Amino acid sequence: MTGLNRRRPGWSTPARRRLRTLSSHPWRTVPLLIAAVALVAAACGSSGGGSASGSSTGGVVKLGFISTMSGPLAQIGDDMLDGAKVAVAQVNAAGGVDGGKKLQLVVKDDQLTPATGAAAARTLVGSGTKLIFGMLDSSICLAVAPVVQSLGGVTIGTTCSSDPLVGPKRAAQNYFSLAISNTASCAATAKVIAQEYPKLTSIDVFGYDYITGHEIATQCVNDMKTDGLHVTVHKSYFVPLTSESFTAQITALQHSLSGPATGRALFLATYGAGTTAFLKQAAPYHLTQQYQTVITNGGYVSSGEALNGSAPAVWDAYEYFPTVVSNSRNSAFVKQYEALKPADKFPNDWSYEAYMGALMYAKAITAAKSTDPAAVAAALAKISVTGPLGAVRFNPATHESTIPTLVFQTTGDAGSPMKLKILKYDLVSPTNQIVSSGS
Amino acid sequence: MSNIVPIILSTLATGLPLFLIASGLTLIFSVMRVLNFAHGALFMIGAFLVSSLLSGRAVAVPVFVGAVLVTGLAVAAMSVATERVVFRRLYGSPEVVGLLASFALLLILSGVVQLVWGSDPRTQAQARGLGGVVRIFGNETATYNLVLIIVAAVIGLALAGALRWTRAGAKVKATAEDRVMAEALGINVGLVALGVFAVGGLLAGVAGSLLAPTVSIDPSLALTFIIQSFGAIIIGGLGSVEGAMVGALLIGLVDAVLVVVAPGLLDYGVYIAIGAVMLVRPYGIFGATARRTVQA
Amino acid sequence: MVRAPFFTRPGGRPPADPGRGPGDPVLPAGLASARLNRTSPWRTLVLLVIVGVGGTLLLGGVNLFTWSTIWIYALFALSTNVLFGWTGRASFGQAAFFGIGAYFVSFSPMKSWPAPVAVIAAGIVTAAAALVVSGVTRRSSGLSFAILTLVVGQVLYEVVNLTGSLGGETGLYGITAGAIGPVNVATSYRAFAFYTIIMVGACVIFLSWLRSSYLGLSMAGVRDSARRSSSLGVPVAGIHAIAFGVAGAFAGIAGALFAQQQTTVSSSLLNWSFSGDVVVMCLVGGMYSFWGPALGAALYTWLTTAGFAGSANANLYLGVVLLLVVRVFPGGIAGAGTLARDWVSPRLRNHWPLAEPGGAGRHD
Repeated sequence: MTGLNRRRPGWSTPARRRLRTLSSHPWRTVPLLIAAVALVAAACGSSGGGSASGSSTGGVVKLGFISTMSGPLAQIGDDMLDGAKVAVAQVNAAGGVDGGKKLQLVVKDDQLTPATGAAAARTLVGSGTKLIFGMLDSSICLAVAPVVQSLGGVTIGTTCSSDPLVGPKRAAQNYFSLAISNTASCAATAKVIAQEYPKLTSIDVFGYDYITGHEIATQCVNDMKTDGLHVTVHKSYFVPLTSESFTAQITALQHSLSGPATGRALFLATYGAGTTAFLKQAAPYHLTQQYQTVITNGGYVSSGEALNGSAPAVWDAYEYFPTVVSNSRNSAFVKQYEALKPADKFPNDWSYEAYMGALMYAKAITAAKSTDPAAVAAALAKISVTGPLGAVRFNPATHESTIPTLVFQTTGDAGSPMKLKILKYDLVSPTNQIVSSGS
Repeated sequence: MSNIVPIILSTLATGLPLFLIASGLTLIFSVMRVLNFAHGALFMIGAFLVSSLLSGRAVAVPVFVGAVLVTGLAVAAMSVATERVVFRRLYGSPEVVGLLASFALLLILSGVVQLVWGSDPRTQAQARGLGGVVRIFGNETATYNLVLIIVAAVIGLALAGALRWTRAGAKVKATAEDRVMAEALGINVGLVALGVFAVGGLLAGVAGSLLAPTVSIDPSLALTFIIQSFGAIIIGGLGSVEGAMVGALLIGLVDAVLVVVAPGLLDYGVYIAIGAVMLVRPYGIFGATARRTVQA
Repeated sequence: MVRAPFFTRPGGRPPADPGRGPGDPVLPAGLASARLNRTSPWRTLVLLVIVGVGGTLLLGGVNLFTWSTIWIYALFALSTNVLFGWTGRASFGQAAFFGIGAYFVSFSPMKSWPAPVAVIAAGIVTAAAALVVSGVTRRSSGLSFAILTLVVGQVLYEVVNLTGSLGGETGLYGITAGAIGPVNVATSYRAFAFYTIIMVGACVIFLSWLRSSYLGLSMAGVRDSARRSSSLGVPVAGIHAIAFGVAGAFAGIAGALFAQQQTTVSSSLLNWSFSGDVVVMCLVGGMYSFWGPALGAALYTWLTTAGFAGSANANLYLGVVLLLVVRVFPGGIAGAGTLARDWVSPRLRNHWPLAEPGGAGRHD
């Protein structure tokens, strides 16, 4: 009972005596103090020192690469990194940049989270690597670009396509967008579809229920109208982003179809697992055959591949497909990519984008004769790089690239390594002119 | 209304496979008081395993069935391993600790899947002969949907029957109700826990391999059905297999109806169902009511 | 029966700990006595000043940004622990309140209010939202409660995802921290770090005062046994609501600071995986200790900036770490000391049985 009579330090005890009790329970306080010290050390260590040394140490120029290297989408980040690696190897083999300096990649993971991507960008720029490229998701580009800008660096977004990133009033002045914007890809798709199927009258839409999904669907349909097609949206179904069970929607679509397939198109505003699952679940109903054509937008190739040869004929609009052209640049790119990752076999859009991003930086650094971000940014606005699918440059006012949109139709081919073969394609320039076609 | 039959078919086609997943979850919960996040990972492993076994190719139905069974058993073994290594020691901890342990397991299993199979998506072809459609009351539905409906219904009945009419089922229910008393009555509680995890794993593996031909098989699969499965067992009442069936069917029904009536609300379908049921019966349709701890 | 206003602090010693045997549930002996509130607001203030000012002055450059992030996540974790460790209700929807706070300060006119005003307003709005959710979930407990809060969080996440004016999943950028008179905290990392430390510090002092008051004690009582507390006259539902409101308010403040710091927000802030992350922070750091969640937040920040970075298997390692904590260190980092003491001292006693039995919780 004696313990209860002793008064604990309360409000009325002088501060001196209260403080002494801080150390009365070492078993509790010691680990807390150690942890507090470790906390400060962690804040120090995680950013690897704060000194801003130049991007180039001796004969090496560092490029910061940020993408999703872990989690379910790690494959995409991996593909992007491989494309960048091929570019770096090519540049270094050809003599390096700015009078012989070698390029080197510093890779950071954004874990598909904007805050982590921004933190990675801060770490990179803070430690002197001020030329950043990569990023997969628009929300991450939107987080990284202003950060890099405020710290005096340059960003090339190789895959992000969101509209606020480009244009005269873009989110960050020193941001350059390599990927085609959503606007451009829709315009290009509409142009080609209007040409291929002039008698189209109705479109059914199946897409992911998120802002960009709705925007793409609306935009593409409107662009088709602008290009002279008299189309209306007949049925549209939007599903949650993580959903993979579409029986209700597919049977509803099936129900709503009547008459011949001519004049009807199906627009899939989904990507990845959703597109794959939809096509698998629609197959028993031969749903895709009840449309004159099936159109999608963006990274369809991975779904087509996954379908293992059973993919239907689908139009896609993105930037690259390995068998579209057969010039020396493309062959070199494809061959070196295959050598890097035999299991992966061939590059895709994301690899191509990262490849071009690294090449643009290499050329800009050589043109500017320095790695100073302001000089490199100025150079990026002027240079042009010739890649596997032709010359690419950045629009000096909007910082959008002039990469042509590849609008192409593929179908499943179990025999080919990509499990897909091209039926037709059109390369559409940013000014919406069809530059070349083929099949 | 000409919509009734398609709605019923969609409800069954969406709900019954969901029941397959949810039933394992609720069974494990009833005995271990642990909501196993890792169940989604086991489901995903089932899908990956069957596609590896069959190399993604279309095979004859008996071969497919054999592969499904082998996968189910393999996943059951994995589930038992997780019980021994992780959950056995956590009995007596707050419920949330078990939840977090299962979340940790989910991360680990997903990581292992990515190490073994990579994160490239793949698909499994439909078994030969199951790829067409059938007409039911004038409505077309995929043959495989019908197969899934029948298989899930049979499994559900078998599970409910086993719990109700066999001695093993009685032991499971006793352990679920009061573990200490069950032990005092001589029931080998450790064996019951093992058995429940084995059956739960089997259900997850079978669900994964049965659904493999209809989805994209990639690392995101673990989380795809999680929210809906949780929803199903919350609606039905944690620990009740009948509840899992009712909950899954309800979610299927809400989805099917919303597609026709209000497609814009599809994202909220699960949450609407949960909210509506929670307002009336906070512990789920078949959940305990006054028996639980009373909150003032 | 204890009859004192909730907000006073109890005097006297907590009763001696009867000790626990090997068959008892997971918590080691020392943690039981640690569960009674021993935080003093004065001690907290001193600690905050030393660590806060010291760290902010010593660190430089980008490290200061990480430093601010640690403090913000620490506040978020501490606020979640009010509901989780203090009151025993595991909510998996706290990210929703973090998100509400973050989005609140992302729009004009709130964007241009003086930064602290915007942040406090965000806290008030979020507290109101938390009380609403508390009312909706009042009849559930344990796992039902966890899942219901997860559901509420997800509904809010979907709403943001589907609303164009909220930026959808791409998010908003260009968020500013409004000037406080002539002072603009966004000008330098150091200025923002000081601002963060003052805001977070004030909140943490309030929390430590809350913890050591009768209100905090009641929360612990409700956590340990709602039925017993109710029979002692403690209004359990009221305590739950207060805990929820406090947790929500400070989560909103943390979110508002986060938005001002990052200058961008996106719907991923409201996702259930972030809610799960913050509960993990509390658990790994030690949910029964006051400072535990702050340590968990520091570890989390380290993991998302430096640790495992670039490794494709980051999730795998995180899972292993979490499993270790759950199995081996139920008290988290903060409980490690007591765990070690409980492991060491019986063995010491066996070696030297004539030595004084030591350790806290016994008569001193």
